[in-house]
Amino acid sequence: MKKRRNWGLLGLLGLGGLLAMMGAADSDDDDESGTDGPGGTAPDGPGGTEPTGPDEPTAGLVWPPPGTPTPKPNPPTTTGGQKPPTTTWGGIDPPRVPPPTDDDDPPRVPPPTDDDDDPPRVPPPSVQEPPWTELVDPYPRGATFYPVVRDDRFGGTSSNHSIAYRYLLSEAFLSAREIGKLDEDEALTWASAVAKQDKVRLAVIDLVQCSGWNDAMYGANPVTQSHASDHGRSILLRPVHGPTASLLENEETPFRNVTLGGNPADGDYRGYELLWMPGIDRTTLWESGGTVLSTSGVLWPDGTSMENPPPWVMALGMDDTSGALEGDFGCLGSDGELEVS
Amino acid sequence: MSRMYQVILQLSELPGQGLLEGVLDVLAEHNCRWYLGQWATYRDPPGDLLRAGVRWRPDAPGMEAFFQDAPIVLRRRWASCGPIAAISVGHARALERLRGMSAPRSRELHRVVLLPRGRVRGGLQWHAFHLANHQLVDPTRHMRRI
Repeated sequence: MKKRRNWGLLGLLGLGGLLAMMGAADSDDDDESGTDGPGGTAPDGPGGTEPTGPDEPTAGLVWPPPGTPTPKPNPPTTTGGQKPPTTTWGGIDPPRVPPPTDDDDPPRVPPPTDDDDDPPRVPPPSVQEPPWTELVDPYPRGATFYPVVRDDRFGGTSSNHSIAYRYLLSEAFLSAREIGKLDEDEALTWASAVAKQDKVRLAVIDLVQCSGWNDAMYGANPVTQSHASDHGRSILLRPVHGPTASLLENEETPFRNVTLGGNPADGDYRGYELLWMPGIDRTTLWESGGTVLSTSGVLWPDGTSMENPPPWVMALGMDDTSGALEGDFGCLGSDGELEVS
Repeated sequence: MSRMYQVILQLSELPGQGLLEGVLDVLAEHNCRWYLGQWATYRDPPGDLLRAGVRWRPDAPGMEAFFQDAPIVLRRRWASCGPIAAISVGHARALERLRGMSAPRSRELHRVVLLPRGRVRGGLQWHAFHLANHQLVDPTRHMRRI
């Protein structure tokens, strides 16, 4: 039985931009780190992982050791760039107030008319903004949906399969280009050094799992090698989900199909996750030397946070076949927290 | 004045971002333990420095930095951004540990981070923030400045 859920709340703030990033994943090197665990691949296999062991503290501009192969982060064809903050007037000049005059006449009020029966207001047709074509990307980037594929994992430094590593390569590269004004080679080197930090990759996993939308759609009890975020759940990267991408593309309500135990509620559905990759503040990433992932002030035009998908996706709500879509989702106190009522 | 202990760290060159963040992280952990100790003895010192009347005094450009812990700042009611952020982070870590979070995890979730805010005499001028998970919080944001 399906249960329709609508968002009761939440602290969806934020805004800013980067939506026009399209690219294709064509990386070819696959240097697995010996310290990173495997991710969730097989239906019953372990989920996305990242070691929580010690990490060399890194601050300031970090550079990889000589001889380190330069990964290919698939720089986007357009750098997109953060949209300027939305102004109070939404880019429209504020209304001009006429200067006072010496005329002491009272302001003229138009006389009432008998034809006050305005036609009923028809809600505007739904507008996908940003459009679907700009929202889904086969390479994990900020503020886009990433369709998980077989053998993907959260952790590690595989430039083919690590979601966190590739996300950092992309975001750090764009930070270095847009904010740091590095040339392409320097930006690639800097991005590579940023993405190799275990702790920052772990922060990416938390960022994805703390998105209330992701957690509500896919959050399940952690397995041995998965990293649980503050809410105690993990996204397992298993093919137990519905056709979320095609549903969203057709503006239909997506549904949760994974039980808390990580199994499909309806076994007919065997799709992988369509993950929302939150947008981050690239200026902060650059200024912190590639150590800080911040979503503060990264907002959609309606003021909601880019920790969750755009407002038109959120407005679709979420159905449920699992019986697990109840309560609070996302991490406590984050802008991406959701309450399902 | 009550007892005060000074730790003096002398450097031969301007400290970088990482070193200052490391020092402030140690201070934040010290503050965290102080809050936990206070709560263990049924005292409830303020965690919200703004409401406690603490004012922010930006460091003058110079070759020195002075950091104070939570009891000193709460007593004298002013500090620079570094100690203020270290108190905010320490208090948040203490709350997390009270809820059962492990110490290492609380240190990952709540950190003092420094971001550049202009240049002074060729060196970067830093401002300290509280990074709470993925939210960058400026604890001095609404504070009265002196």
